[in-house]
Amino acid sequence: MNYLSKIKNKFFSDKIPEEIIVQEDESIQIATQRQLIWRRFKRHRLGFASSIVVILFYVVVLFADFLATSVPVHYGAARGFMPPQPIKFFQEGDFLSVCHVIGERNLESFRMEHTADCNNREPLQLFGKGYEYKLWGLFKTDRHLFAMKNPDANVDEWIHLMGTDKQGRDVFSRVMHGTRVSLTIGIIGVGLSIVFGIFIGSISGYYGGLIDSLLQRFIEIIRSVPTIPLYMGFSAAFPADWTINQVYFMITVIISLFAWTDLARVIRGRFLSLRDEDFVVAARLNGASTMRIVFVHMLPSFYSHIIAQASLALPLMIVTETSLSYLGLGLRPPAISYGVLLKDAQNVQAVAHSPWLFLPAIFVIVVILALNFMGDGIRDAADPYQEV
Amino acid sequence: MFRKFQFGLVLVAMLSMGVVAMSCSDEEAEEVTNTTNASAAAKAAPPAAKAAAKAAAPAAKAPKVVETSKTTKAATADDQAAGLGEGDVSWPSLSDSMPSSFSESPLCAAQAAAGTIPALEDRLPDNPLVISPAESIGEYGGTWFRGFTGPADGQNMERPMKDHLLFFGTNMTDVQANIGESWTSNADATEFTITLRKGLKWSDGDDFNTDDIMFWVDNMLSDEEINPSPPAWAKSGGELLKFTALDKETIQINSLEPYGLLITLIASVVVAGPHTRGDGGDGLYAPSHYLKQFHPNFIDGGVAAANAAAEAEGYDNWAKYFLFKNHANANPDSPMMTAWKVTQPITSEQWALERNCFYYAVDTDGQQLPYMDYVVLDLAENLEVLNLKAIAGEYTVQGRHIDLSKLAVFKENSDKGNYRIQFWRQPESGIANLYINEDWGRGPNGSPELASFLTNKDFRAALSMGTERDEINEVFFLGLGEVGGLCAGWDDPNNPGKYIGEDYVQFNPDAANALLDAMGLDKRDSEGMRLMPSGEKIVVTHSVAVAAFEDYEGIDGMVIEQWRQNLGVDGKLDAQERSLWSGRIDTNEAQLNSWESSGRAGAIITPNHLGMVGAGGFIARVSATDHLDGIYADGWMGEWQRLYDEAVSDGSKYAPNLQRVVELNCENVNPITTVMNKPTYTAIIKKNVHNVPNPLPFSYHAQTSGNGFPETWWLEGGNQ
Amino acid sequence: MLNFLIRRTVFMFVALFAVTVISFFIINLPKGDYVTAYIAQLQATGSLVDADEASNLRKFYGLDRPLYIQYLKWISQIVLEQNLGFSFEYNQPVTVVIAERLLLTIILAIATIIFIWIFAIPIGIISAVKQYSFWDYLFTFLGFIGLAIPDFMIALIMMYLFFVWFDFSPGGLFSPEFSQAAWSYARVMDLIEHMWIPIVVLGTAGTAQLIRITRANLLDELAKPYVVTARAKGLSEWKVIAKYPVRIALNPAISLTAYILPFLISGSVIVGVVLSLPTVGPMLVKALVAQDMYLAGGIILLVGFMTVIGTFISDLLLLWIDPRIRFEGS
Repeated sequence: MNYLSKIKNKFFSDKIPEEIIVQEDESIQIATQRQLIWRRFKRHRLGFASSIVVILFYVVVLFADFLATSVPVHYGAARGFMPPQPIKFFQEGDFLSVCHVIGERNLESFRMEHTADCNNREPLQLFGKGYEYKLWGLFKTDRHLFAMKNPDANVDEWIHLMGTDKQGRDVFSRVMHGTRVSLTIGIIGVGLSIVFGIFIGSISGYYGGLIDSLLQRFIEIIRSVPTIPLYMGFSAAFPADWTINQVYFMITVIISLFAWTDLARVIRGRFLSLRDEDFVVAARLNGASTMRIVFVHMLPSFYSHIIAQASLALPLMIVTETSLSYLGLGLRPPAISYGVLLKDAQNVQAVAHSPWLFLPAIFVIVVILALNFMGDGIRDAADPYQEV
Repeated sequence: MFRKFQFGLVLVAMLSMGVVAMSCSDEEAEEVTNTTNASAAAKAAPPAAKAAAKAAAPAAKAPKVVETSKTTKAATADDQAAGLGEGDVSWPSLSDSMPSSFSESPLCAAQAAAGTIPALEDRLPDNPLVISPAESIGEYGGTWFRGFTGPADGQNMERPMKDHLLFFGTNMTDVQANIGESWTSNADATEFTITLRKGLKWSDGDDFNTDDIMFWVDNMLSDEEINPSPPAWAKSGGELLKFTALDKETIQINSLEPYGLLITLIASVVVAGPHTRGDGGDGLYAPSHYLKQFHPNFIDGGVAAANAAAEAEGYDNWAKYFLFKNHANANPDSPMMTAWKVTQPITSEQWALERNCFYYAVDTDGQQLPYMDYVVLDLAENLEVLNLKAIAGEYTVQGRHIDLSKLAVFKENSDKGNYRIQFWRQPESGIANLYINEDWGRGPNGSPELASFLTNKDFRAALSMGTERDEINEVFFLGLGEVGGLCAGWDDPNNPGKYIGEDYVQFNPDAANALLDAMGLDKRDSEGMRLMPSGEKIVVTHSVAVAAFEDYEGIDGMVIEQWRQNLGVDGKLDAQERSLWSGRIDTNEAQLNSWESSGRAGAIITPNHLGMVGAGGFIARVSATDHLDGIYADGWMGEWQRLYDEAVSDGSKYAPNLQRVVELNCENVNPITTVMNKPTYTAIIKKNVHNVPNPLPFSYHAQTSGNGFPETWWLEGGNQ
Repeated sequence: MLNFLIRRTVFMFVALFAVTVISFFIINLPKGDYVTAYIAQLQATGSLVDADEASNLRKFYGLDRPLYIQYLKWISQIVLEQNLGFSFEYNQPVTVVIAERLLLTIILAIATIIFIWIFAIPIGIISAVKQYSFWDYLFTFLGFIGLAIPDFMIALIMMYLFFVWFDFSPGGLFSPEFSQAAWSYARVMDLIEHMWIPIVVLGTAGTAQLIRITRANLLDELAKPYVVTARAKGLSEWKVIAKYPVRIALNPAISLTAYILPFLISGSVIVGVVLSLPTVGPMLVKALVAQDMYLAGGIILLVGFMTVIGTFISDLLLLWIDPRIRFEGS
């Protein structure tokens, strides 16, 4: 399945050349490498705008509970399959308010039918009190972006910005939590890939020759094994008594176990080209240890490439997670991730009757696009002439 | 491709046969002879058809055969609410009055005219099976379109095409004639005879007679390679049953010990015929004329030559090759006794069957059955695709694999797709029972403290009372199931007006929490989750199979949330592919399993659901294994095992013990039932299909839709 | 050069061997075996199998032998007899089981590649020639959307909408009347009719890639002095672009094709599952679930084989197209 995504990734690395505007500014003479990259990046408008979107997504990751309105696992059959309910502005003195929605199953069509009764409204409060949670696992609080003004009103029954699923759970709140899980998996997975990639890539690129050949062949072999059986084999081997967190972590590790190969190739390429640069030779002649040369002298010279590569690898991680979950190999409920949410929608009745269950897909698409554009931007900024 | 059952299944469904065969023998004649239509027509009608049974009862008194069991009965309240149970009850039945003349379909007539098959008179047995259709005499023609999911989906057509020597009526309890025309048993129930119809033919035109049974007995059942461990039903008192062919039409079976249920088993899926069981080397008979060429006993050169032939075809040894040749679904060359014969194997993208011009059944007008010429099943490995094809109206009749949760989409498209929807229900069946493993403490990761709660009846009662069954019913079954216990309908002698366990299936969080507080689970952590006396949080792990017939993952996920919110009992979901899930049970790692239970009447037939006997068992796998070695468990499980053993050996105890064991389950709240009696199949039926019984009660042992006699279904105006 | 070819060929076999080992042991990673899966499947329908019988079954299928013996038996059969083993579930030799599906899989992959080419190359050229124009942005945007939408989702939605709007028979690659028919003109037309959805779903991602590659390469070429010279000499704009830059820009696209073929085959697994296509993908997933190990192993081996061969061909093509490329050690 993910070969396609892998290729996507591979070819993302073929940069789009951007026109480079030569700077006549005097400050350019004294700017550091990092400042130069930053300047160029800011000029890459799409990349820059995308990075803001990415930051917003990571704000969601950090504040998922704050943004969510209700506990994402709170169910209620009577509010199942509720379409998105709008927030009303400026109704009879209330800045924000929501209408009461009554759900009932139509015994003729067997669909849930919901009618909004706007005579029965409840005002909303920004930064009000809702369910209690621990922010970053540390601070206990019950503040939410949207909450009910009336402390007796049960938020589960009132706010449904993106509708509800089969069990009457709030889709918006679930998307917030799903974002947290999927994007964290992405970051951890990419982190692990970078570690593997740097390790193998630097050995391969620094030593070259036979070791390089062997490692390159090894990478090719890994790439020739279809991933689905690999994932199936591993995920079936998880013990029963693992907690969701353990499974979650292992899935990340597994995804990254097969995602590092691209990164390793890139890093190897950089090492090969830097190996004979003066500053490396100088360091070697100075008697610096191999480790020191690699980590102190060589790696920092292409940090930005690693960042670019990482932001291009992230979307792959996210897509992989959704695909794995679709096949039932990734995260499983009660865990919430993009994959779990999309799998919930992956049936005929959702397409026919409750299309809002596909709203999480929009988040997936936006974050993947944003990460891709951001990655392109960083890479072009880091070195416009770099061939990968 | 092997025995699809085993030793635990000693008693199949049937109150009627077991009880009739054994209890009648005392007062009545030495021998009980049964003919075409079992006279006990109404004795044990399923609850769904109680009224029907009542109406039929007077007729049943007379030994004479009821011409048609067409009776009227209002549809159940649910069916009416659903708008799906319109019309009168109509069931097919067997008829004793032989039509004066016979006729055949144009398809067969053309072949007969061309000389490729003999004339109709030479194809039908002397005494064909006469079936009186549910509604009307049909017209020939048309194709039955269905969907199937791959080579493992053999039951898809095994169910509608029963080739058992004897079979059940639509009510799933009365044993009736089929290939065999009558049967007898002696007073001790140790000697049985089954008389086959004279002049039966295989689908290739060859004669069918007791040679085919004896071939199976001598060369398959007793063959080490084909049957390393013979099926449990074929043994009595540790010995294989003794089969003797009295003549070409009569087979005699002797058992070492009384075996009153043998006839019932033969009618059921447990014994079945070669179509269902042939790939495992079972099925009571086999096409000897065809199979001899693959069996070393009949080949020059014996085993070596047989193996060489098998290896030349890519098979490891002759036995595998032989079994493949006897697997009619996969090998269209294998002759069949069913209404349709396979023309394209189940391993292809399209599994196709064509009418068997040698089929032994006719309608009351003498028309040879089946009515429909072809059956064509399209491969749809993904159930969403299969259901979408059903929504599009591509299937003629399909109940298997149809997803109830798509009912709204089905209803919406029923005019466009030109189909109606019928629910096939399984009386008193559990859908997602929560089986708590009483033996978990003896398993590899069992902790004594948690185990002490799992084995505590009050703990289970509390969990049960903290479960909101209405919510589950509404969310997962569109409100079409029922909220009730396994023992519903049986008065509790100690608490008249209620059934045992009725209180436990009511949502009552206060009572539940009081119970939990009282048993030492009164401390809670910062999240409000209960702690065990040691200070460790109590976490109940639900092991569920994914991609099963029901959405156990979803249901158990909801139950976990309910227990967390209502009781403060934390839970965890361990969802696995079916084989891994079943592995968890085998290794005794699972704390709580979610699975169905078949109709209450099956408690002893399929004891792996409610019991702790045989090799199965969700409630206590280790105790079940101990029981095989004659060790009884302590407490209520031991009582269950003793009652079971008694029912197996003494047919007269079957009915009372059946009720008592289920009551034990109810008393001890294991399993914790959630929703009961949802429609097992949501059948999608083209509007122009006639003779589908209404209602059609569902069971595995009677192979529904086989008990609906699909050979009598016909298409008005052909395929639409 | 010759040295390079020899080394690549030797490596190809080493890689294939490694793929067989890895795949065989991965398949055996989950607990249990085919017998466990089979018993579980029987239990689902209410049947039971006892422990004795299970061990007999294991013996029957040779699953009681140590793993490495099973592997050696399997691999020696493949090498010596071109026999991929026996599928438990189909009760037939693996080669028989997958032959037709493999053919359809390859047909689908090739059709997808043609689809990608037809759409991606002209669009890539337009995007490059009219860089930063409305069309450039539109196509780039559409391409990215295609890349970002999870393919299993778009497959289901398309299948449903095509059914609702155009009465398309959902799923599969053939209408019922053609699914088992012999190959004929009518059957080919039927296949083409049914292939649209999978091709579009599978092709969107590849199209987006190829657009990007074509665009990027062409932009590189267009900036080169010889193009400027050609323009200065007054050649028509069309000739300037088509004569050399486009041809050179297509080089990587050609080598991509050989590279993408095996990926398309395994990439079609999820789409195949969703659309219930008679390709090897869904069969692989089912075989893995049922632990039908020789069937799963056979499919993995073939896909791995195609990947290795594809990479090899892609290297050769590159070498042939662009002699400037040097290979290490040659």
